[in-house]
Amino acid sequence: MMNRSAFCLFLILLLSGCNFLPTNIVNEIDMSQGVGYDLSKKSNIKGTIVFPIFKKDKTSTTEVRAAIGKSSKEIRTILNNETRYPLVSGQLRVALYGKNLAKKGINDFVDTINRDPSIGSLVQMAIVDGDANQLYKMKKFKNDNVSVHIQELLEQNMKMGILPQTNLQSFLFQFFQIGQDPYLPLIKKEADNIRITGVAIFKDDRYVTSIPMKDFFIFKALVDKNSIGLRQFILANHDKVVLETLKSNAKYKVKIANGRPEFTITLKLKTRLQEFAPSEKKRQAFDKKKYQKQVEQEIEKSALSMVSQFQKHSVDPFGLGAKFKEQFRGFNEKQWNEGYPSVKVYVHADVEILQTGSID
Amino acid sequence: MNLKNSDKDKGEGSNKINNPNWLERLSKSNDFIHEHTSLKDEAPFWISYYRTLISSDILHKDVLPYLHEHLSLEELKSSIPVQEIIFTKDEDKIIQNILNGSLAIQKYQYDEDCLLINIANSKFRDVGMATMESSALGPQLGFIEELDTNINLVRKRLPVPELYVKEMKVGELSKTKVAVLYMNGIADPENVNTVIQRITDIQYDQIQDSSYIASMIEDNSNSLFPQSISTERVDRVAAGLTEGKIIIVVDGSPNLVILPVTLMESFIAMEDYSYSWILSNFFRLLRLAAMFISTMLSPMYVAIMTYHYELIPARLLETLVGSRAAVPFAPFLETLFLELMIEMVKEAGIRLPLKIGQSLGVVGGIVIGQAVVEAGLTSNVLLILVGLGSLASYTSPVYKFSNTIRFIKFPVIFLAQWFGLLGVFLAFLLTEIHLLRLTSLGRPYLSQYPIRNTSFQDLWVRLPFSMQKENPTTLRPQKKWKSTGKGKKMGPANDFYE
Repeated sequence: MMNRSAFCLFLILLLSGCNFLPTNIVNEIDMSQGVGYDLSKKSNIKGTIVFPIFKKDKTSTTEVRAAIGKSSKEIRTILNNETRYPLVSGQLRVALYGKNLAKKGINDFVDTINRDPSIGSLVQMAIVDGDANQLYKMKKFKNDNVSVHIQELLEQNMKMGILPQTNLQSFLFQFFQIGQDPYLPLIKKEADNIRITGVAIFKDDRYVTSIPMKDFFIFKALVDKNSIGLRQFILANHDKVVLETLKSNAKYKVKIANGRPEFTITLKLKTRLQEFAPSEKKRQAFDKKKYQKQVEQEIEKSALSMVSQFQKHSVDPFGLGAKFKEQFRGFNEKQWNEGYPSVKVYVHADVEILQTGSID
Repeated sequence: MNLKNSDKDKGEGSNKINNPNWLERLSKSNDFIHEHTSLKDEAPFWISYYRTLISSDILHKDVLPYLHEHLSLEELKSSIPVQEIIFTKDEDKIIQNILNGSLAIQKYQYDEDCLLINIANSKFRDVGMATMESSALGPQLGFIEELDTNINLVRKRLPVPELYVKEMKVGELSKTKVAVLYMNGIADPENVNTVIQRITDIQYDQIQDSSYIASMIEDNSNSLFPQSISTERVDRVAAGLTEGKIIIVVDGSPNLVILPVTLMESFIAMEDYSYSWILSNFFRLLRLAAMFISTMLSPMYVAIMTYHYELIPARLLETLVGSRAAVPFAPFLETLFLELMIEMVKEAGIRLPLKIGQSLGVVGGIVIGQAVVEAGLTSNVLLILVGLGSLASYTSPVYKFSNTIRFIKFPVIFLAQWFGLLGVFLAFLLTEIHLLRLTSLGRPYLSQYPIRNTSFQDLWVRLPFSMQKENPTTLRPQKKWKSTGKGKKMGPANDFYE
């Protein structure tokens, strides 16, 4: 009897080709690969969803749809009314936030990405200097996959360039960590191109300030382990030195005196000389020790100015508060926030030029 | 007269007036011949035989010339130049021998005494190449359909008295000769007894092939996995014997059965031993990987295309989705359709005569496959996956096992359709559980647990010969060491340097 009913069940399953779970057959869904959120009028949000449309033996085209609503899922529901297949978000690659929205806080629109189990944590996030919707709608990318383009643009710069490593995972970590503020890349539509223009620094989930391109090198060295990148140093007497980092290591030391912390950041850089143009135009050997010293000074100077910029806006992307909290049991978040702008930070750079190329 | 005398002497206690019983039973067939050697009555002998079983050559050259003289049966026995001559009056024995191609000689038509001369026509094909398990290197010799020749081939490779042969007759009607071969002093007597016991317990009308015996005596006949290896390679059999395995030879079957075996042995080709151990490990693991590819690739396609679109890398998305864009079926039906088509091509290729079969491969594989994709019934990515999977299923050197792999993907495809990747994993898990429970002659079939040292000498991987020193312990061999170096390190032969 038992066997017969089991057999019947099997037959039913077999003949119906039944699914136990809701299916998402790849060519019967519209996979959103990019989302964008901009501030609209009356505290509404303009949401943009980008999804590719695949055709047999043809290159795919990109569809950009926008709708105005109050929450991310509401926007998706509205957009679903105009797509051929149901919109799904498991292939999400990049999430962009307009600068104006970011100034008000992006937490509501990160939360939905965080909460959805089908979205991975390697989704790239960026702040758009301007309008995310406009960026997605660029004509140039009509037949190109704009979301993947932005994702790969950001990723290659993080891997090989001087952009600090960020993604959904790092953003959430920094956001929820007490005593640290997140940072995300800042991109901009410039003429016919998408460019990385800076790193947006947040206070909690609100965009506060940004650091320009020329400070990326030091910023990345301070926040990432083993960052590699290239930077040009114009030294005291207009000697131009271009160094490429081979290995870097930033160490944060906290010294607590009278319950007030003092930070010493030791930045060790192992570099390779890429270009050297002395001001005196005559052939001379590269004086390693001299230039190491000068570069160290240069780095220390710009690092300190960066720190004071952060202190002025009371943002803490280096996570100094978190490092302090690790060391000090009586850590009080409120007290720390109040005291942060006046905390003493020393930067000590240790630059070593390992390779000078095949000339010397 | 002599004739009368013998009749009286032997006539005690039996029915001497009637035909012997066996004559009556056998003469019902038209090819049975019972005749007097001469037209004249005084000629001494009556002979009876099956025309279709004997070699008339031997009959006319070696036997008939002696039958003109008046000799007693004993004298005849010593003078006829044929090896196998029996003198008997046991009816069963007479019937049996005549049915196996013997000639029965009687002095007198109703005489009970009978001289049985084996002049069976034993024309079999010659010993040739092993066609199903061919290899590029190594011995090419394969078994044939005759039991004695097969045992002869094995004995030539292992000329030691410890090679024991135990012969039996199985089959109520077929009376098939079955021999069990094992190395005394190496094979576990318990295994030997189990095999002999199980074979003698078989009650079945006919045995046509060694596979009959193999599936009748295996531990779990409901399993998809063959718990013995059928091989036609002489080297495989001889190597198995020396490790303590038991071989079953069945008359009329070119495949010998090796017992007990482990799953991993189905991935071992004898050719492995012709290469460096590093190469042979590569091939062995390649075959293992091929099994996973063959059983998992198309189910994975079904699972990912139906449920888990998130898993597709961004760069692969266009290829995968684009190729499926115009396909009207669900991935499951698409895959099932293509898999069944490929299986049909394979099946037809095997059943058809050789010459037609070859052209069928081209027709089936390329023409139909291309047409199906062009018609938009399946995606071309799937065609690649299915083709790769079916190619991979044939990498196993054991034919029976590759057919198991061929079949096993179908239930997995169904599970993938029902539960997605969870189903694929479930299939893997259920197979693993089944394999862990499975035994071959009571020995663990998977050889994964318990972990044995010897499994890493020559099973999962093959170490150099100098490090394969032990016989596989799962077989409980009575001889522990393979090399005469015993437990000592077996380097290059030292006396060479001395």
